[in-house]
Amino acid sequence: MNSRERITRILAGEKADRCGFWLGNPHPDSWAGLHDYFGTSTEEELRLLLKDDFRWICPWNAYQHPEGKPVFDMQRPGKTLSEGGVFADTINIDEVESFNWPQPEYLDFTGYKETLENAGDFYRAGGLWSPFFHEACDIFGMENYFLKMYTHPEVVHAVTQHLIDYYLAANRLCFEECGDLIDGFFFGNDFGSQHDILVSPALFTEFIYPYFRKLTELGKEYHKQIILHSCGSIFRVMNDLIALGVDAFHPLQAKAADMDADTLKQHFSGKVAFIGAIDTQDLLVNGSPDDVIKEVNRIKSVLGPSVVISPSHEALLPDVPPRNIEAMAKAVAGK
Amino acid sequence: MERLLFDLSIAIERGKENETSPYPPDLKGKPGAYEFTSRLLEMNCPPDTILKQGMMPGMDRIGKKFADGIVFIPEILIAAKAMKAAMTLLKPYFDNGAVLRKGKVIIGTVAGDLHDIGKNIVCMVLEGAGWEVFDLGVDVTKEKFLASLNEHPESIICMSALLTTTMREMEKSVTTIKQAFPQTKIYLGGAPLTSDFADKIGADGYFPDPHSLSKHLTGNL
Ligand code: B12
Repeated sequence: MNSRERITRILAGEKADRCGFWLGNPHPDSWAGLHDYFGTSTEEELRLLLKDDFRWICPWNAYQHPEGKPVFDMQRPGKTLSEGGVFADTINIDEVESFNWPQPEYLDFTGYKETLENAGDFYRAGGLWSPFFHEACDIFGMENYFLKMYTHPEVVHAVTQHLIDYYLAANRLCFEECGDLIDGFFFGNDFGSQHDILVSPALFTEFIYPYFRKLTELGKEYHKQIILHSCGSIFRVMNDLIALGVDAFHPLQAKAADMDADTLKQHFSGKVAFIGAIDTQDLLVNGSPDDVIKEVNRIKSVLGPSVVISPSHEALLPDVPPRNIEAMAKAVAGK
Repeated sequence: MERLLFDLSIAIERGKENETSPYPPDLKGKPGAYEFTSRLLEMNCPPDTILKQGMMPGMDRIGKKFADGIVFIPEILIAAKAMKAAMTLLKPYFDNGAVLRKGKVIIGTVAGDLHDIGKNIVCMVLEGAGWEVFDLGVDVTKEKFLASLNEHPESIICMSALLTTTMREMEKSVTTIKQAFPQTKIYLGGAPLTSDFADKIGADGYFPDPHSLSKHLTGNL
């Protein structure tokens, strides 16, 4: 069974020869230390060494505006999410309509297709990242976005509709051109904090689900497995998200409220697959390789076989000792 | 007057800013925190009473509901917005000393860390509980904390960190501050932290949410 078959089966809830492994997508500051420890020089070399089954291949550079404009020209002065973007003070839909929204015709997937063609027998998680919730946070400013859900719901809907329209058109083009080469539609939005979901279930129902559903439906239309990335505690909305079409959740932030493996098994086992679960807030940072091996084995027995072992945040930070990553990878294949 | 103070607390808890604000829908066209405060002032209600018996109970109730997982971030933001609108009317009384705050708090997200929503909510809840808050923003170095403490030496310090990498930065900041100001209380919060960690690095406490910190601070007065 090759990696591609293995992960496809795991995410489909079918039997595989072992559980899967994804190294994640280490933070840029972490690579030098990793290469140094493992004696590798390229990302792919390290993934092969660690028997990584999963490749996250995202068309980050497909949007090629003739004047080099970004996809969404948020016009944010600072770098934190609470900083207001172009719609920070918008209370009028006309302003939303007259914004320079992205044009799908500027998308070019030629380079993306080539990368996919050379991806080998690994599971390909792709499509556009499509983080419409985060982008709404950026374009309003996170606090403004949440406030406007109450004070100016029509403005929030108008903006979200534009964001999602772009992602629907762009992903459709992507799947039309490269669909056969992609196995899972992997998209992301951080819906949770350490303790709970960021907005109430009622606001999820009004401002998130209707748009979210369109993305999952598009993925299903092209026969993609639906993988949702969300950090934080999303326990309260996981059943809804499963009903809306999610096949697998990533990264299962082990220490966030109700996101531990036992709770997930108790509530969602058999309904959905899991990618992640190896804690990056304490275990991988402060634990010993033995601790890591024990935990990987525990997760395998609790969530297996429908689990792809991976860090509980893909952007592994430089404070994770490479020996713990080695231990995590080795424990996946072990008994 | 009692009744108006209670109405003010409800307006804040429910995020009803003023008469024209569209939220909450069931209070459309009704007076909000701003109008209740201005009526109370017209009736010569002492501004200190308005703050302590009108505004603070409203923020306290919503803060507790947030800590208990009954309401979420938007609800606390909108309550804070209503509080802020009403507070503009009290500003002259803060300036002339007719209303006294409980004390000063300097707060920031530590160096290298950009996460700020949590820290902002801590600011709102503490302001709502009657503290004067100096928000140093994100990516705050130990030098910046010290400079602010030099300006307001009687302050309490609050630090937020959301990353394991920046927790280490916290340790350095706590050590530096405690060396220069051994009496200053330092409290910590943020996703990856624990009480053990706060003890280990010599801080005075960890709190999982702003409401529990606020209760602790008030208890210490
Ligand atoms: C939203 C978010 C972001 C946003 C930040 C938005 C913003 N302006 O704050 C963005 C997208 C920018 C971001 C970036 C990154 N993030 Co981030 N992020 C989150 C997420 C999903 C939610 C954080 C949040 O806003 N919560 C909502 C608020 C209300 O909650 P809170 O911050 O916990 O605060 C509450 C309490 O903790 C407490 N509190 C907070 N501070 C204080 C202080 C005191 C004194 C007290 C008493 C209480 C207190 O009160 C608040 C209200 O109750 C968390 C997940 C999580 N588990 O927290 C990841 C998370 C923190 N991020 C993570 C990572 C890895 C990153 C990045 C490195 C990713 C990358 N690819 O680069 C960058 C780092 C950027 C930087 N240099 O800071 C990881 C950290 C893992 C680790 N090893 O520590 C987390 C835990 C996700 C995960 N799956 O593991 N992130």
